[in-house]
Amino acid sequence: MNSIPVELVCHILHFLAVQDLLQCNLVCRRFRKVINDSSALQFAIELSRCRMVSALPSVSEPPFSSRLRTLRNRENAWMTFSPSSRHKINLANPGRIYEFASGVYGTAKEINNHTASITFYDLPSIESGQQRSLTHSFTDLNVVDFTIDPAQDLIVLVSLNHDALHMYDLHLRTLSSNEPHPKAPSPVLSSYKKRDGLTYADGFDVRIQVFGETLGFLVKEEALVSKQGHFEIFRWLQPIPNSSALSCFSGIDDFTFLSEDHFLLVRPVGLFEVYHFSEPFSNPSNPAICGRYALPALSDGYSFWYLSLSSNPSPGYYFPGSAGEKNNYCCTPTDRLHACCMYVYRPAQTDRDTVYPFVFFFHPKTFLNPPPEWQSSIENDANGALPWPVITSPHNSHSSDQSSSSAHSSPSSVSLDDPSHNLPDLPAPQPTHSGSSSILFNPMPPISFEVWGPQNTRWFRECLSKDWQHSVYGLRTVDCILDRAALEGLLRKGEEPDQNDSDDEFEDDEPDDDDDLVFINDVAVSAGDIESYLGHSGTLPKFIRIRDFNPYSISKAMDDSPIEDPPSPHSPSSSSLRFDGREIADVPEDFRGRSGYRRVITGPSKLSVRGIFRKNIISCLPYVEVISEETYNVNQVMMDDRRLLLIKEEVDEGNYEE
Amino acid sequence: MVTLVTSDNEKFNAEKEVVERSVLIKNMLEDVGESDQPIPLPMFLEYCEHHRGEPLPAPDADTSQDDTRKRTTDISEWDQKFITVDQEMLFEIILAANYLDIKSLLDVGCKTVANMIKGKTPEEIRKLFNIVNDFTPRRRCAQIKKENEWAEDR
Repeated sequence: MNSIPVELVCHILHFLAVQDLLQCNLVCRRFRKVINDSSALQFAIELSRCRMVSALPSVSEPPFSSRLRTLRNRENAWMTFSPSSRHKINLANPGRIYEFASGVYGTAKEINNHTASITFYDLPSIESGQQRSLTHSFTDLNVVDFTIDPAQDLIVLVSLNHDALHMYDLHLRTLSSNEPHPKAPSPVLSSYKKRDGLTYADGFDVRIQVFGETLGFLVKEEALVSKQGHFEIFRWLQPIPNSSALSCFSGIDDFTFLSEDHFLLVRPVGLFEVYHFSEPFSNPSNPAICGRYALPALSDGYSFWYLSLSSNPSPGYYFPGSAGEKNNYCCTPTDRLHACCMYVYRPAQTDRDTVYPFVFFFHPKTFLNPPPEWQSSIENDANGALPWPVITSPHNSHSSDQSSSSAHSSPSSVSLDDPSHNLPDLPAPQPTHSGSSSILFNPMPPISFEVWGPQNTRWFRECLSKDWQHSVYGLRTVDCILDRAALEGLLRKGEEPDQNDSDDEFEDDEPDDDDDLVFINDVAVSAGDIESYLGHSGTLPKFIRIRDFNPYSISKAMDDSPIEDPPSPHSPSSSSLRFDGREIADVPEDFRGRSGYRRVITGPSKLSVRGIFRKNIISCLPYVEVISEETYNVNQVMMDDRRLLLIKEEVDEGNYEE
Repeated sequence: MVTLVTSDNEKFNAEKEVVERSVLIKNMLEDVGESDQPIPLPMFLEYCEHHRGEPLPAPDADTSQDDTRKRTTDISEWDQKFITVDQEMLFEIILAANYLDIKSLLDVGCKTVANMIKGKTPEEIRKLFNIVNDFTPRRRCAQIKKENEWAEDR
């Protein structure tokens, strides 16, 4: 090895994965120098630390030294909230459906029931001074939703089809020219076979997501007394039959892809279910459940009203025909943080407007390779009562005929509603019993939150009423927090009732000032909704908050500034609580008014749940938090690898910064 | 037909098309023109002969970096057999392939070394290649270890 000149050592090291490169770093000074001096190797290591992957082939421009510089500068800008530039776009054609992926912001406007038009804005072109946008019109289509994957030049439109056997058509078209996508053997896919006895006039709530070659489509069927979730996966590059469907009694609230062959369903009763596809895709056993993870148990009388996930889809960047700078890296698709927003209510309560919002962030990568202890925790609990009543549902006949495997009824589902309720599930405690088909679908018991949750989640008490009031990219999240002083000024002026008068709802009287909620007349209002709630014509100023859950960012932040531990709990009894050898603090207090501030939270925190959940929730996923110095008058925030898109609704304009 | 002579004066005849896989020889042939002058070099005819007819890589094609990073083991069966030699010979081949500018052979050699490194600890790597640990102060090594801490676990 000593006879090999430096440039050949470097060539050899190029073939190594990052983990092996780091081992080589420790071998000898010569190796270390080669690694340190090679911008290509340094770029590979830095990308891996930032949990990003290269989106450009190695041979193309720009050179690695400038890619590395760009990456480091951007990461530093996120850590200090110092945007390098700021641009303003006037959105000419804003609509109620929108999507932001890979530097392209699309917004759809329904002109009438048969025509929709979607405008796409190419954000990098604005950075270079020449704004590019595209508007596509779709006639004779009742468009209800869409998604884009600019890296594949793909737009998927969901339209309602009243005349066909199936209720929804999914149109696979090119983003650049609005033609049927050339790589899709069947450019229109149909989903969700209509059933007798249900009215379809407006359709149901739907969700659509692209993950590379896979397309996920969820229909949330809500009928008078029941709800069902119909989820279908398409391999859109393959000819029909190219799908596999799954239906769940008691519904599916949301879904996300964890990898090309794993997806996660959120069940309204408070469960995550992880499913796996084995090859070939048409295998009748697809998709197979491979794990069930329980959310913390609610107290008696409370139910989940709605659960939703947010994550950033489709990495990669390519704007059709764009000659400008291409994205040179994007987040690792299988290594993304997700946010789960949950709204809890009391079905028996007369005032149904009172909804208790919670949010937690989790890193679902662990679900792909769960540690063996998780499984053994179930075996230990085998004789104990499950936290949820589980019965298997009867076979569900509503399958899609194009589906390559027959539709599967859910492997298990939760005993349903009191039929008098026109409302979602009541997970009231009931004796556990198994249905007759349990031989076929041996229901996998859920792994309890206490086992999987604390290490893999971080909980906050916040209200997020719209998906994108808060946004996730890779391992980073962004949201806006209200400038409390501005709100108080407004409330005094308008003689609105006082905030914070809802404590009688809670079983203990901890002050409410440790979260971002504003309570007005008992109603929790989020920062993004406050204006419309108050009928305020302007937009209140907000700070932008970035949270980064990447351990590398945390270690960098810790090197820069000493760790600030979460404030110590005010009740002396809880100070003796320990988790994993570390003292538990209450959920870190918000630092409203402490703008331009950064802190690292590594210790476990306790979310005081005020009796809504059975136990207070302990979570300890570490993060670093940065708050902007300035305030911004905006309603919505979105983000990708290098930019924030701040949207102000009234004047129909987007502000964004790199 | 080109005549190649090794450093120990052994002569080989080979077709021009075959030996042009080496950019060095290709350039030499262009320089000397059509002549019967023998060209000296070690024995890589076997390699070039096997890969006869395959397209030569474009001059600036660089397949060594991140897009192939995950495919270290991608060595064809024949090449694998060809490169199964002792370590000293392996490094000789790499040096010669580099000198003769035969990109595909250089990559095969370097990938083979990379595969030997894969999954090993620093101590195992030192032992494998007979490298002396020249990090003197312990503290320095600890610092590097800390730098290594946050890379993605794969």
